[in-house]
Amino acid sequence: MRRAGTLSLPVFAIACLAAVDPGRVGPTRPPDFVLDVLPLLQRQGCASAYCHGAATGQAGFKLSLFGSDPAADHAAITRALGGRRLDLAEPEQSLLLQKPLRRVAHGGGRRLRDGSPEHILLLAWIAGGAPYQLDAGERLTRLSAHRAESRLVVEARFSGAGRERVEDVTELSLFSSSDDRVASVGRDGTFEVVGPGEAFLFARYGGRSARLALVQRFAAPPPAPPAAAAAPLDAAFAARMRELGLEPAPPAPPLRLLRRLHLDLTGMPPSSQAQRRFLELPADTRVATTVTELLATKAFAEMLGRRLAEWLELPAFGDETPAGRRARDLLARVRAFASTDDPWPELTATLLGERSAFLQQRDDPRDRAELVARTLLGVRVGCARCHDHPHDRWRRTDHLAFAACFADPRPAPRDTMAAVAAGGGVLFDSETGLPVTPRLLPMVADALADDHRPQSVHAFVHEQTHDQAARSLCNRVFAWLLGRGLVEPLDDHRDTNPATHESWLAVLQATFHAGGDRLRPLVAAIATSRVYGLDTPGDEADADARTRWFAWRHSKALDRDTLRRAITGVLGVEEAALPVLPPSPLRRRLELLNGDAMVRALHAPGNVVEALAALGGEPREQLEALFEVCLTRLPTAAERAALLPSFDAEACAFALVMSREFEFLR
Amino acid sequence: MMDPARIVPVSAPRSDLGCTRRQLFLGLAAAALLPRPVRTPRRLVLVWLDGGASHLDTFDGKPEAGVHIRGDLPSRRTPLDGVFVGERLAGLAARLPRCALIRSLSHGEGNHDRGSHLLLTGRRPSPVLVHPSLPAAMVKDLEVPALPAFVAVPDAPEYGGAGFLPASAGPFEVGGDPARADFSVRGLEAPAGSERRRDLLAKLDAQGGARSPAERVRDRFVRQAAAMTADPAVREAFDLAREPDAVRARYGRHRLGQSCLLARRLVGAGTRAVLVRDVGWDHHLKIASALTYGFPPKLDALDQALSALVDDLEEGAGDVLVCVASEFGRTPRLNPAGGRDHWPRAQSVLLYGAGIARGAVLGTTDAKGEEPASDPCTPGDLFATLVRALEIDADAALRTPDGRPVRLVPEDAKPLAAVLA
Repeated sequence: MRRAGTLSLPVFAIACLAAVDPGRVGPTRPPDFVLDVLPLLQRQGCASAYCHGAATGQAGFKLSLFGSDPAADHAAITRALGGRRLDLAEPEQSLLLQKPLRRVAHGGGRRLRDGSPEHILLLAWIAGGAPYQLDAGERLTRLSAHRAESRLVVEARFSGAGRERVEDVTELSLFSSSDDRVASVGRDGTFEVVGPGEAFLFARYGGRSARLALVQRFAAPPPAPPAAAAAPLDAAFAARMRELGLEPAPPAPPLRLLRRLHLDLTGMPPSSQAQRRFLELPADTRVATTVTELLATKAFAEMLGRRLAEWLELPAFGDETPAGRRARDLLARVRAFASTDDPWPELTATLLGERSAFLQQRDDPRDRAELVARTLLGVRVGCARCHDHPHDRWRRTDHLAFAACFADPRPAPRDTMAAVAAGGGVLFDSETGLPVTPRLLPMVADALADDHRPQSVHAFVHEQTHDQAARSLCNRVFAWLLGRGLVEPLDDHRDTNPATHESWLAVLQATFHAGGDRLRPLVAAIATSRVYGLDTPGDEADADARTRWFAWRHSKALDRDTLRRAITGVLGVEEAALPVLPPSPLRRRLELLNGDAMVRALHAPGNVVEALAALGGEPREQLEALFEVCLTRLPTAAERAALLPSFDAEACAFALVMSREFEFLR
Repeated sequence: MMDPARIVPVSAPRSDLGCTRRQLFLGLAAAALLPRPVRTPRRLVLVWLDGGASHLDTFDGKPEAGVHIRGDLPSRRTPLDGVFVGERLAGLAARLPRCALIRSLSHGEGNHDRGSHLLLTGRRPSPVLVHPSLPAAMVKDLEVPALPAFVAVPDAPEYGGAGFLPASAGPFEVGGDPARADFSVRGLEAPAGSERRRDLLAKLDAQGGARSPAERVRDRFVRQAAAMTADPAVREAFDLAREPDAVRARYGRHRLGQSCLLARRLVGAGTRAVLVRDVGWDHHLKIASALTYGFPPKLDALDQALSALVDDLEEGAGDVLVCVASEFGRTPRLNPAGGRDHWPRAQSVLLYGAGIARGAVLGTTDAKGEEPASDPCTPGDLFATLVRALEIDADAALRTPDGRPVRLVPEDAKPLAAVLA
């Protein structure tokens, strides 16, 4: 066994070459394809989608994308073209070396330096007979990374046949950084910290990844504050801010916070009465009181129903076909759930039940599997439909086996892979033609039940050992209220895509479970938290960096449905007065700017303009009232100067609901 | 020495006024060194026959096949050797020597959505990434124009939009039916007496400090909407009523005809890409009557609209590429209901205009129209061909939301030289 950090390539290779310092020769292991050559081909970029990993290969030489099919790659090198790519008698003459060394023409240019460790390794491998895997019983069981000054060192632990050995695989690993604005990492594993924040450096080798966290503080951490009893999320927030040396924003002004709460939870800005009442409540409890009240409203239930429909990717409309009716029933079911405070697993049990409308939306079991993974677990198994994902753990076989859990036990429509079978559905592998054994996703090390009854899928989704359903849901609720998830994209949870603040997600998961797996306690915990109530940045220089770490709040756009409700709401007209806003942003803008509906709403009897006129106050009072209703604040001196001369309530109301401030929650 | 008076009209710079012969010759020499004269970028009109047009009943007629294959619709000979088109496509048949025809396009995606993704984006659908359509990729980096750079008439099919690119690359959908007498694009005109409202809105929006990226995107659309409203040329470009009655009649007073006319107006005014979507080509039942009855019959409308478009663009600058395609062909063998089902293994695509060879025919299908018999090509190849003909950089990298570069043209796609000029 070699010592870590001193020798990084199989030393047999080095022993082969007289030019190498003989002092470095130690115990030897001949290189083989799986452990050495395949990672090297990936690292040199040979197996990328732009080169020989492309679907059709490159210049007749095809490798599997990201090395997902080692056996095929080995065959392509050793046997295809009549074995001409290798010359076992004269290894140095092998095409596999001649091409990348640019001794003969190579479309990809020079990929190997003469005498480089990579060159020596390939040479030794060919000289050794180009073996596939020398110890077939051996498996890579663990990959770990640690830092040696400004370099990552990667160690692989192999075990098999009662033996274990550790090997330095730094020079065969691929490196990446989770955030290039914080730390960059080179091809050889040397890294550099370039900005404040936290970054994870990843090393990938043999289908596994290892990571190392790097923290560069924004400033020296302030002295720890006196320990006060804080909500768990606030405590986690304070701890992380100290860890990153970030000075959080001050709390948002009370009315700005109230506007957020009302628009986020009910989709409507707070009325004048609600604003006055909020200011009269005791400052230390008014947020909690308001949140409790808002969560009990019908408007919140509707808002939650819309969010759930979005998360579950439910279609908004259903036509008069059986499928359309099922879709509408499903939507009604989800909305009914939102109006109760039942535990989340009760809804998912319906979604995953026998012949559920949720799954029946898709014909292909693979689509169903991906839908469940994406919406309920927040993971993208779909990448593995075509190839093993280089940054994710799913293999093609995992994807197929999970999809088999959703095969229909009945004749399925054409064009899908489901077949007729008695009892349980069967999925056939399109490549081998063989039936696939249903298996749940390997979320944790221990294999889960080999079963594909709906109950076992449901049990798997809520399995506590991975807790991925809760993690995904907490992240979605957080993203709903804060405008951005702790994990982004929301459906891309994986080891190589860590959360901005892992500890916050852990706290939210605990809160969710402590509340009996119910949504409302989770929403309340976030809405009353310190991070929710932070102010938005003004002109600060590093506002982008600070908002990225949630030390300041992002401004957040109202979705178009909420925008339409809010506009009609403050104008005091029927919701139907504005047509559903077009999804195309430019059309939407023209509709609002020039559309007839807006003009009619501004002139509708009994609307806000008429109500103001009926009250008959001074223009100043009318302007203040309009600002209060629309923007939850009073006009500034500059706004008074601009709007008060020749005051026009109708034009003001229009400008206020169309303004950037109305559309973006600050 | 050459007489400059003979040269000037050819190179057409108006610099001969008030300059010496020496200056003129220096200028001409410099112009000769330029790789290509500066001119307007090429534009695209993509006519999308939504649902999957039958290749046998349009551009790949099989007059000698059995009746269960050729169906009830006869084909007609064209000036091109061995090319038969539907009998009702008389106008297009006569114009084929000016167009290029691909009859050997073949792929494996037999569902509408998957096939649409493949044809419109050049790439097979991915479960995690929706790729941008060709028009969206064309306009992604353009400045905010008053006239939208990418317009869909009347709307875009699924996967005809921006895909993973920012929403600003997506189409402006005009909505409505351009053939209706009361057709107009809504919201282009500021309502009477709205100046004060818009003035106040501009004042309110002008204040406020730093803006988030999302706010800047919103501001961009607000600016563009205001510019569109303010510019009479935009309204004019969308205003079909400005076309003489004779022209409107030549395109045909039907949805497809007036959509193509609007497309021609828009590319003439500077729009880079227009996607015309003609729905109703999914003929599972009684395809013969579906194509030849109705008002107007589907094939007659296609013939009339495309013939007029080809004629008009012939008179114009020749900087416009027209592509007529759909997601797949249809089963050569009629089904028991007298219709044809989805058939991705063979389909036809008609090309005309900028960068396209005149009178070229690529590929044939076998006697039954089931498979390419020669020169099989893929939707990726078609995509690469359009990119080449439009003079766009095929190697340009599109950025996915997670920062991964994706090459504009699929790596394994090759432009089809046979149909390129």
